[in-house]
Amino acid sequence: MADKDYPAELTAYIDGELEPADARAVEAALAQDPALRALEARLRSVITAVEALPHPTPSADLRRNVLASIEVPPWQARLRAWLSGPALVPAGLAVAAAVTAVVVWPQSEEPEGEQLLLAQNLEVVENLDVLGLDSPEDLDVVTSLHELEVQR
Amino acid sequence: MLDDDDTALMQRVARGDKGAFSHLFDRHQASVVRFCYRFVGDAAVAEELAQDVFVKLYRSAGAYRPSARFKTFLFRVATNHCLNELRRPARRGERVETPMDDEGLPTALDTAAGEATPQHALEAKEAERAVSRALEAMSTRERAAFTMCRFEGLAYKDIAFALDASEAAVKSLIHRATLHVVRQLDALKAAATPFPGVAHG
Repeated sequence: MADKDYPAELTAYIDGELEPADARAVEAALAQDPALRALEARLRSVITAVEALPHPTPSADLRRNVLASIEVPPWQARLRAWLSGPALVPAGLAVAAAVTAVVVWPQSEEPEGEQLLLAQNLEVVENLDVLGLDSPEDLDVVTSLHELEVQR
Repeated sequence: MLDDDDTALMQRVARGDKGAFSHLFDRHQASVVRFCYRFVGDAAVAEELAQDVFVKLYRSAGAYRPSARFKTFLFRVATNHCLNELRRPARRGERVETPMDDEGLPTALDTAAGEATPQHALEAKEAERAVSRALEAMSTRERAAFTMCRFEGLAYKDIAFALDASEAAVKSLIHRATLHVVRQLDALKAAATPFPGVAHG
């Protein structure tokens, strides 16, 4: 450990996180270097003071809110978040762009297979965009939509 | 034994046992709120984050493997959530400045209460102020490592798991973070003693 940066090792030494051989090397360096000993003492006093600091106490609302949240099915929680979040704005723009493209489309050249498929499934694509869905697992939301109908 | 117990509870949670989840919540809610508070510097936001963390924990219980200590797994979820929160555009720009009272102390804490002597109370206030300022100056990873180490007592290897980093990297993060606090304390002391020669004379 001849080339070690001993000051950088001190915190881990104080935390008891050095291997025994490395810890012994730091102790040897401490025995020879008053500046290193002063830094060690300073770090120890700061760490002791930090670890004695008080902390905020969780409110009773936290327990109530968490236990209520886990009662809500995940897809319903996600749907609520989407419907109340900013995702609707870009989703609306995406739908508008898709509709515009379809309106303009017939004037252009013959649609290719991929475009035709998209046009045939436009209703599904629009629904996905409106909901702000962006991953395969989000499809759970769509597949579970009928449960909302049942609950009404 | 406590951690083994946590693992067994978490396995029950994975099978949909809400009573087991309730036990885990009661055991660890203070730690998670403390972690989130030190991470974002705002007690109300910390509670919101802690709520998200526990709901995520419940929903991801099936992904838990007993090879990882439960508390380490919990702090991995909490760290990722807090890091994501700070990356959100509305919160970009780092940790908020901790709201302070007239004495310059975080309003969420009852710091002076119960201190043994006025000198001890003064030192505690100084340390709190220095830590708040130092946390604001730290990188997010330094802050996460420092908080897990100093306030939760996690070992470097557990912090490495939570941060998906090497132990050597964690050692460096914690050392740099601790030096941030030392520097803030020194700066506060220097500011409080404009004429050092007179102060002791």
